[in-house]
Amino acid sequence: MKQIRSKFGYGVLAVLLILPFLATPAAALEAKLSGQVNQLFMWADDGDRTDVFVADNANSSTRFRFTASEDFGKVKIGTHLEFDAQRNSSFALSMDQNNDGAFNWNDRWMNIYFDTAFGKFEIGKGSGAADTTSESDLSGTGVINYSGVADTAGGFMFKQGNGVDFGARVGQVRSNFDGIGRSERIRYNTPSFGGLKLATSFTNGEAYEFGAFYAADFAGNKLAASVGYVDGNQRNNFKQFSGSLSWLMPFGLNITGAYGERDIDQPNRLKAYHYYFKLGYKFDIHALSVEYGWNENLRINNEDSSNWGVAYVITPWKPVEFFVSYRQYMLQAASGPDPDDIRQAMVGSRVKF
Amino acid sequence: MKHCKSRWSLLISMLTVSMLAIGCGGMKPKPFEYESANEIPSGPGLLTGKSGEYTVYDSNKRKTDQQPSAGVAPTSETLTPADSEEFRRFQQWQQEKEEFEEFQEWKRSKEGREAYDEFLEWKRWQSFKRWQESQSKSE
Repeated sequence: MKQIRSKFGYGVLAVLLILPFLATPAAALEAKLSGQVNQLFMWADDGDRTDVFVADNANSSTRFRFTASEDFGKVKIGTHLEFDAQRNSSFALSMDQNNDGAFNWNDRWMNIYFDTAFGKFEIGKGSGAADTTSESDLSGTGVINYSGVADTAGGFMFKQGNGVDFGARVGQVRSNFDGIGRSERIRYNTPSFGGLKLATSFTNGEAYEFGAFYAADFAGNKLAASVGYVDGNQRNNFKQFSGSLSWLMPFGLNITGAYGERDIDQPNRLKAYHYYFKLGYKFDIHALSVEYGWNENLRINNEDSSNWGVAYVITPWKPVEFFVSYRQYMLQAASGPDPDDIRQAMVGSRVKF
Repeated sequence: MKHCKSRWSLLISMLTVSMLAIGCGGMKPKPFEYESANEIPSGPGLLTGKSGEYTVYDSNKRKTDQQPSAGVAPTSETLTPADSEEFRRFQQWQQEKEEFEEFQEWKRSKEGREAYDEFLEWKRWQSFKRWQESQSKSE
């Protein structure tokens, strides 16, 4: 397997070196700036205390993006720089918190790409090949409820009936197994074959990913599907498979599902699983959905965590969305009594500037 | 749900749903560019307008701005007097072109036709008056 990874790396390097010679003089250079602000107001109850928060919606954080590209004959070369500018992320909220939380300045993308007739080659920080393979979602409510359920509650601690910490936060027991996420990687993407695209990437720690993505419209029925595979090798101690599918019917009804399994490289560890389902309805500027999801054996063997939620999103003007959501998180302990449920209600807005 | 834990079950389920969608549609699929709700949405922005992006630099626009416009006269070293006069008329025509096109459009309309006919009649009357005056002076 090491030989395969080495050959892959050398192959991509060779392509990157050859590319300049395929290029012809520049035709058109464009550089653009865009971004969004996404904030929410949350009420939360961990069974012991209730509190309210004003936070950055980590489902789709406040960020800005700078892109530049130029056509050199048959090769398009571009850069993609994107940064989170998050104050008080909803992923990191805590019931003990009485301030504005931390300010996070994160690099999301620092990517160079070469788009050719033979596919797209990328190098730098950005999505790995399996990133977003658990997140195909055509419901229109993904800005507040999607398969990454820990984004709005990751920091909340489950509490036992007497108010004592259970020892597990939502972010530790829930994951949608969505690849490695963004990393410093080299990546290759095939051209589209009738809506089907394949991708592979290699990152530090000799971890590699594969991904397949499909999106097509069948007489008004929109279908988006993806599958991914991760070998974490030295970077992450697991191998992982994930997939998701979303179907939006012409009259607005939509169904979404995601599945993942993770082989954790630790002695006596059971395989971990992820399941997620969403049923939604879209009409005009409105979108509604109900969701249910759960993880098994993620933190420890025989511990399951689940959640259900409802969401409503309205887009009165193209750059502006308002959303309302309610979620409840449950934990089935591996042993002993289950902790109290965590409940949250959220309202907020995302504005593209 | 434990009995559905295989990746093959997932792939078969996805294939089934896909076939169902194809069956419902009954038509050749048209690929579309999937956009995640967790990324910056496409479309217009509050400050960036219709494009949703602020263009910091565009080499195409720079080339257009730098190209000599019709209003910029070539140097006198390259033009003869006749050429200069023709170029002046061309510039004037360019400036009046839009008005001229509106006039032609108006002339084609019913109201325009009637008004233009009346204008031609007035011109003929003006010519007649001038002829009458010249006749009376010669007498």
